[in-house]
This record gives sequence, C-alpha cells and structure tokens, in this order.
Amino acid sequence: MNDLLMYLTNGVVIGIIYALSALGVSLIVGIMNVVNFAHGELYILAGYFSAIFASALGLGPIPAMVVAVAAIFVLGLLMEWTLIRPTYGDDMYSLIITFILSIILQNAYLFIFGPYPQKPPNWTSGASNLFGLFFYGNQRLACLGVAVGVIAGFFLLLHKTWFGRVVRAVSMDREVASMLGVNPVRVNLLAFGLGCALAGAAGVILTPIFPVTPTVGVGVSLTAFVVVVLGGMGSFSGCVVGGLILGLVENLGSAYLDSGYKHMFGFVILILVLFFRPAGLFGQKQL
Amino acid sequence: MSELLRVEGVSKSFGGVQALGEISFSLAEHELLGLIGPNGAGKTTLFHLIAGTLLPDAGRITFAGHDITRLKAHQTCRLGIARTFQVTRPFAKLTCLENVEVALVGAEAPVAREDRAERCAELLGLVGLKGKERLAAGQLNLIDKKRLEMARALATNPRLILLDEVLGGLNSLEMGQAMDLISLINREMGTTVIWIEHVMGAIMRLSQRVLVLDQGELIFTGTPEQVAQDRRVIEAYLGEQDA
Amino acid sequence: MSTRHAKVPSARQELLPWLAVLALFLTLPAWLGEYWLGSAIVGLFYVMMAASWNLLAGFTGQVSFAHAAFAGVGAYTSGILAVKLGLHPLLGVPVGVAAAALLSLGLGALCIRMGGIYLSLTTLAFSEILRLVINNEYEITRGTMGLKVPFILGDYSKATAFYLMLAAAAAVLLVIRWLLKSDLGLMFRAVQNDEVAADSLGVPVTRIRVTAFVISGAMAGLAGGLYGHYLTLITPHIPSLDLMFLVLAMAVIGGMGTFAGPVVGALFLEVLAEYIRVWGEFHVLIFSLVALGFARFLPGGIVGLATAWLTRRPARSGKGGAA
Repeated sequence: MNDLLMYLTNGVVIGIIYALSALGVSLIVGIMNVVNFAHGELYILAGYFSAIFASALGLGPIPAMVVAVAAIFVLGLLMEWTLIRPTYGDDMYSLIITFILSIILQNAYLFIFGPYPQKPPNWTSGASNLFGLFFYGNQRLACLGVAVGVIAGFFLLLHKTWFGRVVRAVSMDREVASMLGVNPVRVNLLAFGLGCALAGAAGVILTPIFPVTPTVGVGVSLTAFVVVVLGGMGSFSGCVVGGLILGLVENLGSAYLDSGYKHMFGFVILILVLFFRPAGLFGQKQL
Repeated sequence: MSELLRVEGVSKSFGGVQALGEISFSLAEHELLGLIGPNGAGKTTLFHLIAGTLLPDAGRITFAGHDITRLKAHQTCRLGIARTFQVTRPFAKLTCLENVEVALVGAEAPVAREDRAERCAELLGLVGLKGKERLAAGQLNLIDKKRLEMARALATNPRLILLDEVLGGLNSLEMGQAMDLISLINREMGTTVIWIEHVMGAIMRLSQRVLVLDQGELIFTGTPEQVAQDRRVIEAYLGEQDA
Repeated sequence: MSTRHAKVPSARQELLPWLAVLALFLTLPAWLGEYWLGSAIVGLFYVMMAASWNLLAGFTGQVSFAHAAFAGVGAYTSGILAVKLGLHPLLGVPVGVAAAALLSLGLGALCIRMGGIYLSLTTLAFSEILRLVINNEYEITRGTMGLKVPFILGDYSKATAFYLMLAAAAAVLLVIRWLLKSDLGLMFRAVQNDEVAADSLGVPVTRIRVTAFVISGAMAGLAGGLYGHYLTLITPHIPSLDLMFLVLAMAVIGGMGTFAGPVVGALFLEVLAEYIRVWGEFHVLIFSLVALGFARFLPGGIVGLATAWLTRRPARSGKGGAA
C-alpha cells in the first residue's frame, strides 16, 4: 500500500512537470503552428544554467533558477527573431530548422558541459509525512509546489492579460489573429520566448531530482509532444490533464511491469490516441 | 429542370461562433444562382460545406441523388462539383499548363496523356491565358490567377461550379470578360453555377435567382428584382461599407 | 511584364551529365584505393537515403524523422533473417524492403491524415521506439554490440559491394526521376504547393502523401539492407537520429526540392567528412552549423546556388535564356 502511494505521488509530481513542459510546446504550436524540436535542449540548458549559476556565481538555488529561466526566455526571443521569423508560412522549414538547432545544441553541450550528469543543489532536504500515511521527499514536494505555481501563473496570464486573450483566440482559430488587429510579429515573438521559458522552467524544476546530460533532450521533447497530442493541440487544460495521465501511467506501469520498456508507455499512448481519437482529449478538429 | 443540389438544415460553428445556422435551399440543374450577403454572412463557409472542405455540424447535403454531407473535397470533385477560391490558390511553382493538368489527372476518367496538352491549351485559351502556358503560376498577376483558377475548375468537367468572388479587384473591361465567361459556362456549357459576389450590378444582371445570407441565416430567396426591393436585405446591407 | 518561364530542357540535355557521372563511377574500383572506395560505398548509401528523403520532404512537403529508422528496419530484418534462418542477403534485403514498406504504410496511415506536424512527431517517436526495441531485445539484435551478418554476395570485396550499391543507387534515382515526371509526381507537387487546392481538384491528398511515404520508406529499407550487409556488422547507428540528421543535412545542403540536390549533398558531405574526420566529434557540429546556414539563408542549397549562377550568364546562341 505504501508503495502504491509512493508511485501515485511520483506520478503526480512528474506528471505536473510534464504538463508544464507540454504547455511550452502547445503555446508555440497553437500560435505559430511551429513545433520547437529544440524544446528538450532548452530544458537541458536551463538545467545546466541553474547548476552553474548556483555553483559558479554562488547564487542560491531559487535565484539561480529564475536567472536560468530568464536567460532561456531571452534565447527564445533571439531564436524566433533570427531563425523562425523568416520561415513564416512555410511550416516545413521551421521543423527542419528547429531540428538542426537541437543537433547543434546537443553537440555543443557535449563540448561545453561535458558528458557527465549535472545538477543544481537541492533546495530543501528531508522528508514529510503525507496525510499521516507515508513519507515523501521534501525536494520532490517542493518541485511539485513550484511547478503548480508556475502553471497557475500561466493560466492567470492566459485569462487575465491582453496577451493571454490573443493566445486563446488564435489557438482556437488562426484566421482570428488578423481580424483582431493584433500585431502578429510581436505575438509570435512573445509566444515563442514564453514557450521556451516554460521549457526552461520545467528543466530547472526537475534537474534537482533528475540530473541532465547532453542527450536527454530527445526524450524530453518527445514526452512533451506526446502530452500535447494526448491533451489535444490547441488545448492548454489538455496539457495538464494529459501530463498527469502520462506521469501516472508511466510510474504505475513501470512499477509493476518490466522496466526496460518504461519509456514505451508514452509511445503506446501516442499510438492509441492517433488510432482512436487523433484530435486528443480536448482538441478541436480544424480545417 | 431537375433538382441538382439540395441543402437541408445545414449548420456550422467554429468554437463558440455560429457561422451558419439551419440553412436549407435547393438548386435546379442549369441554374445560375447568385449568393450575396454582407461580410461574415457565411457565404464562403457554405461553399466549404458543399464542396467538402469542411464538414457540417448538422444537416444534409444531396447532390445528383448522392448524399455528399460527409464527403471530402476530392470526392465531391469526382462527383462533379468544382470551385474557385476567394483568395486564389494557384500551384505557384507549377506552370499554368501543369496547373490545369493536375485537374485532368485527378479526374474520375483521367484524360489520356496525348490528349492532355491539347485540352489544357484549349481551356487556357478559353479563359484568356493563351500564350502564358509555360509561365510559373506564382508569377501571374491577380486577374490571370483568377483566370487560371477558372480554367482549373472547368478542367474537372463539373456539373456544378462554385465561384467565390471572381470579380474582386478587376477593372470594368476585365469584369465584362469574366461575366461573359460565366454566362458561357452556364448557358452554353450547361454548367450549374452558384456565384458569390459583392459587385451587385453584375450578380443581379446574370443571376436567375438570388440567395441572401446574413449572419449565418438565409434571409431571402427570389429573383434579382425581388431581392433589390426586400426590406430585410436592404437593412442587412445598410451596416456594410461595401460597394 | 514577367518573363520568367519554367525551364524545359531537352531529355538529352538532362541525361548527359548523369551518364557522364555514371561512366566515371563505373571506373572507380579500378583506380580508387581501398579506403576511398569504401568511402564511395558509404557515399552511395547516403545518396539513396538523401534522395528518398528528399522525395518526401522536397516534393511532397513532409518532414519525416523515421528515415534512418526505416533503413534500420531493412538492415535488421535482413540481418536477423540471415543469422537466424541462414537466408542469403540477396533474398533477405527484399524482405527488409517489404518490412520497411509495411511499417511505413502503417505509420503513414496512422498519422498523415492529421497533417505535417503529426507526421514529424510520430516519425520521431517511431525512431525512438525502434531504438528502445533494438536495445531491449538484446538476444536477437545484439544491441550496441552489433549484429554480425554475412557479406552481401560471395567473398568480401569492396568492388562487389560498390557495384551493387551503384546499381541500387542508380535504380533508386531512376525510379524517383520516373515518378517525378509521372502523373503521380504531378500530384505530389500539387499537394506540396497547395493541398487545399489539390483536394478541390480531385487529388486524394492523404492517399498521395501516404504513397510517397511508403515509397520513400521502402527505398530507405533497401539502402539500409545493402549497407548493413556491406558493413557485415549492423549496429543501432544505422537507425539512429545522428544518421537521420546527416541525411537531412545532405538534402538541405545539396538542395531540397531538386533532383540533383541530394546526390550532390550526399557525395559532397561524405567527402568532406573524410577530411574533417581528424577533428573527431567536431564534424557533426560543423555539419549542423553549415546545414543551419543553408536552411536559413540558402534554401536552394548547392544546386540552387549553381543554378542561379549559371542562369545569370548572358544567353549564348541557342542555349538557355527565355524561351
């Protein structure tokens, strides 16, 4: 029973962070119809940054995280401006360019950071007694808390700001953007930057638990993609629900089944979704 | 004349916005039907639903005895429905000849290779693109792109052709040519036509019957003379700053 | 008044340079040393891969990340059949091709109707799935150790492998050429230019895309199968994303959407790789930066650059210029 609770909680913790990561992908896909294949690499970079800022610059873990995410946001803006913007209207090239970028970053990380796992120091230690039933690590609880906070902040942004309103409208129907009289260039720029920042946020939150290496990017990207497909493209609440489902399925599944194929769960879900309900749980079938 | 197209209770929404609500009408073979209405009335959406680019949320569409409600565009094309697009969609990197050839290749009874060049040239000549066969379609000016769109649609040998604002952006000479072509398609080739247009004079002159849409509803059907005098139609257009 | 016409060179004008290249290649085993002959064989493998990937991406607008995976399917299928059942490679490779074709049919039918983004995501996922399966089913595939398989035909000889690869590459290119000039090819290009318009003209868009996907996947299976039996050791490198990236880079740098582009890109990068090899792991980073540069600034690739430079020359008597 204890074990089951442990797996469930793990599933929720990981699931929420998956959701956060997926929101970054969903935002960019929804606004620009671009898939950022370098998503995982930005997650990793944020992890590296938070580790380095904490050790080299002597920043506390929280400030290191914030600075790392801010750096990724700026990088995202740069990426959009130099690489993505010229490809507007040509979906194929944006896919190719972000894929090439992910390869560049992967190889660069190998040189700059080396092949060994890196992680920032934990923010907290020890364990808490949850519901009087079992003990669970405080670091993981803290991760959960921060992730939930960031996601809540995102939904606040979505529903209370001008930018959020535009995002919601465009995610539903791309033609709407021009009708709203919005400057598409500025919206795309912000959306891309924010999407990258969300990837970075997921990275800094998860690296204390799972250290980063140069090659985990593909897995991170794919997980985010699966969650977006499961939740439905264009749906942000779908990301949250999808992330939780994936997190729970993975943790419960690998606990009771052979762990060699642990990562298969996401792919099985992907195939099932495409087969039975390709638009996802909350997705809309568009034109 | 027999009934060719019947639209029954067709509706379509996008997100929370209802673009079309419970539209019903029927169309006889060889008719030339005008479809007018203020911007955003749902006219192009109706075309999308008939042609199969979009699926209706409710209702039924019957064409020549077939239920085409859930058919896709390439399937309705094979049954005999062709269309042009409000914003032209040429195959930019293909030549004009190849643009028309695509329509011949996708057809129900594909035209033999030897005959194709001749048929393409014939159609391009008909719409006024003679001499431009080898130009890349992306290089054409607006009126030529519209001509190409017509040639392509005609190449599919349609029984029904849906024309979406073909006169937009043309000068009076070009408009006259376009109207002659539409008249020819309908009267000599016998093709049934539904025609969306904002140029009132043109559509009133050529159409035998006119449908008026406003905010997704069908507010009037009648002859051009009747439509011009209907109170609701006039009110619907009063909010419009359109010529 | 626009006078840019689509160029229509005569059949002979088109064929001549290729025949010359083929003639040159036929002589290679006679004078090229063992080392460079091996490099040429690898180059021909990449020619097949890049050309078939380009058929999909450059002519139907679909970016697949499963191309290397399908090559791996061809290689492992044929290799495993040779090891477990003693099937001769020349019989095993066609089975590998069939396996790749079937898997691409399944994958295509699953995701192509949802659009380009779904295809890219699903092919990436498929690539990872295959990697997981290969690593986990160690008993059969020998994982990263590599599966030792028999040589493609008779005793080990680079010349034999070279001629077989050359024949296969020529066949692949011929099929692609024939396809592009056919009705199917016209529909490919129509779908790539504007799928909504193509749909409205009776072109069954999804079916056309899946067809292209299957053909391209089968070709990758062929390339992988032959390559595996040339190397006599099949490793997870063949279906890896690293190899996938190389193929993509070759098509992009050579020139996507052209016929010669992938061939030029593959041979050029393979030769370049030999020279950069001394710099060890840097060579992937260099290729990726170059590829990014081309994708961003020179989407026509090397062939595009060459064409632009050639057509800027003043018109000679009877040649080139506006018709």
